[in-house]
Amino acid sequence: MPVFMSPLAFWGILALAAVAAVYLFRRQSRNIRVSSLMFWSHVKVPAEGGRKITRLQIPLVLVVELLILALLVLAAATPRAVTGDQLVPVALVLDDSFSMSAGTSQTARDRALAWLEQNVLNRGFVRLTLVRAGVEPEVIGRTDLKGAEAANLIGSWRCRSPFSDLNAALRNVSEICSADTRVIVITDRMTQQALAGNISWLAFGKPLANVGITTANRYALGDVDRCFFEFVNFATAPQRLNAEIINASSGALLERIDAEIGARAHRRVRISVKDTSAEIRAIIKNDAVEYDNQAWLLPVRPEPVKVETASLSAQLRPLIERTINSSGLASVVDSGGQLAFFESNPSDHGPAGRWKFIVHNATQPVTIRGSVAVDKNHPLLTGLPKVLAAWAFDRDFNMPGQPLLSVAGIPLLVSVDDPHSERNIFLNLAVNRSNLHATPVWPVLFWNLLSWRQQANPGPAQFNSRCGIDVVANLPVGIDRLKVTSPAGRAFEVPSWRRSARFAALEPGIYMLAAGDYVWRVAVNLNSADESDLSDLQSNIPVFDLSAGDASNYFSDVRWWFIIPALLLLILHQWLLRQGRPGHVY
Amino acid sequence: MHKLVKQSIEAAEIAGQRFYLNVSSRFSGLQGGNRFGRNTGNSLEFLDHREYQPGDDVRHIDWNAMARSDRLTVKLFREEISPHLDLLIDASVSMSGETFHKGAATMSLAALLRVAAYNAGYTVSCWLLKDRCRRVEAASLPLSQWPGAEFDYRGNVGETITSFPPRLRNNGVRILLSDLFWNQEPVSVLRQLSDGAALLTVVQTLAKEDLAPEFAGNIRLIDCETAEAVELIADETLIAEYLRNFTRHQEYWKKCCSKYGAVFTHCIGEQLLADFVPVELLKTEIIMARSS
Repeated sequence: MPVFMSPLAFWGILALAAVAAVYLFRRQSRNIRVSSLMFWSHVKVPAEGGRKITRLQIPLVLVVELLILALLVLAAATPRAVTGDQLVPVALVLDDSFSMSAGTSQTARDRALAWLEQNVLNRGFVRLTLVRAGVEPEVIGRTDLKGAEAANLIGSWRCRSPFSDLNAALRNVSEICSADTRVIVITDRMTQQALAGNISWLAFGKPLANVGITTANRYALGDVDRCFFEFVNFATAPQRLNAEIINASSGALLERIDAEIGARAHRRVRISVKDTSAEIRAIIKNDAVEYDNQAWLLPVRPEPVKVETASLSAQLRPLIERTINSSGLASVVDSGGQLAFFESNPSDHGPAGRWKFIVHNATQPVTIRGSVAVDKNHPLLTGLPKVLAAWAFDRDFNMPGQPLLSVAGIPLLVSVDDPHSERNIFLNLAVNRSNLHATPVWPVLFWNLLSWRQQANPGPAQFNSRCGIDVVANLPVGIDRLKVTSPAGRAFEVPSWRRSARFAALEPGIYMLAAGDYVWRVAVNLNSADESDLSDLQSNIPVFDLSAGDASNYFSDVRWWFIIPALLLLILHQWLLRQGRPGHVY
Repeated sequence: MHKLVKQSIEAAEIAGQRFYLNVSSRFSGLQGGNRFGRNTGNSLEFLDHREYQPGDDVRHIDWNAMARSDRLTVKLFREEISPHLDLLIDASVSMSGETFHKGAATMSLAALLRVAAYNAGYTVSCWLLKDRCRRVEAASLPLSQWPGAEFDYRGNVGETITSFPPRLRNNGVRILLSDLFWNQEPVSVLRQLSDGAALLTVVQTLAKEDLAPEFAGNIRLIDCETAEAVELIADETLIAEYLRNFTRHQEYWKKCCSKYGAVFTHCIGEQLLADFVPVELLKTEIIMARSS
């Protein structure tokens, strides 16, 4: 399909109307008075009477004339077309964030699609690359799509990302597309950054008044869970907030908010929930933009770690059990523990996935009191206070692994990972000649140990997450895939690596995770002020020509497409005129 | 009466003084009269001598001359005639024409012929052919003052002639001025008009548009007499076909006139009005130019 460089020439279409008018005018019979009809009617009046008009001849000539004129007008409009296989490369960077889908009757996405349909997708001379700019840029389909293919695929642009990294998408386009690619950014806000010449930044947004939930958080505090919600009015005028916070498990209303929030002000709500297993949900009921009107908070308390201490001596066992019980993170069991304490390395591996904490009790220990090298980046030593204790240890202790605490090159605490995803932790300590258990190091060390082990339990690391953040889940032993069902009902599987599986949670709502016999729920909240603040949406749709600029190199002058047929039609026209058939007027 | 027609009549009456209606041997069968003809006849007016030829009346032998020259010589006397012209004018609407040229030419020709007839010593009767053949009383009046001299008859003049024939004088000269655009068999008309006539002349008066129509494209032709209309797309072929029809009609009239001893000629209105010289009539010697 050619493009026309001189569209003003289309005024020449008026010539067609003029010719048609002349034709119609000439078709009007002139009244002529004659002395007699005897010489006319003898031969020219058809036998059946009626008008003697040969209609087919005149329209044919007229049609030919109109065609010639139309072709000449098209030729005068300087048509240029892509010839050969070289199509003009165009990349569409599509803002996939939620704000593109905000609106009641027509969203920015709707407006953008309509514009694309009219100005890009139906242009036969382009090859399109669609890049969905979400949390990470993603090419839709493949590069260099035909217009019809792109029109089919662009439906997968659903604007369900918590934010869009347009710059990353532009970088992606610059890597996968040629330098002369015309890049069109479809978004809902203007940009202040300087753009390269081949980039057109089109904004289809319109400012909207919106009240949304920008923060939802839950944490355990003693016997209760504390829940925190923040409601923000992003409008430039005060808005009425009508919201509820409910216990979704029982349906009980925890708090109702019916208050006016000032322009660009917020309202924070903190509640304590005694039912720590309850799902808490906050709902805004009087706001049109729906995607930020709900927040979910699931129970945050993980299962306690099962600990076996049966193998410990009578001297060490009470020390450790008391510490474990006071942490609140574990429970002592006789068998089936996830963490087992020993005073010597057992010969058997025990059940799969069980961690072992071995206290290496030296017969000829050496006691030191001084500085100890500490690897504070390790989860086992996070927050560990300064070691100010008499530490008796075996100076000959040598264990291959990651030394976490050491003194004079002698490892005091070693973490050893084995190929069965089990972890052995060795503590080089003679308890009867040390006072480590009487220092703050002792509870911190064991709290970290239990927390670390707890994190290694099957299940998600966090039960309440944000859109765009990876959800990480530990899988039980023997399971290598995590089955995920999104809030929209889309099911997919996530492969694991070292019993850990992760996926990007982009949709707000509750995800269902399943691995073996385990089933978990993870709440994902939008919690994005950028996507909720719709007051700064802008619209800027400059008129530009896809065939201009570098793209013009792909076009060639195709006036001959129209001139040659016009000449042929002219010959036909002359031939028709020469026929001289009755009824041929021109 | 249209102004153009009036002016044309006045000019034609003046122009008619240059002509006279030919009195030829066609009147040889007449018995007496009050005018001398240009040929020999039976009057007492001596004209010439010539040698006797077998068949000559022996009563005209000039015996005195024979005695003198010993040769048989006969006396020739001028003929004695009483010529009369019946001028029949088609007064149908078609004679008026769209531009009045045809009507003006017809009336002018009538005026010219009347003057020419007077110049030749004719008595003249004029007839307007409408639903009846109406004789114009006081035919000596100028044509512009003739009562009812309008081209307003919408019927078939040929039918009028055959159904209601005029009382024409025997042995008179009869001239019919008409465009002949009527659907009537010429034979019946000519039989009626030529009966008892010394000479019948049919002058077809035409307008230029009758001979060469100049129009093209979509046209609606309206018969000025019947208001009947026909829609056509005019082009060269159609015009040629019209001319073929017209010529065939004219030739048929010529053939019929020849059969009845009538003279057929035509007169183109625009040409006549240009100089008031009826060229075709002069060619056929119906009228002759007077010597100065």
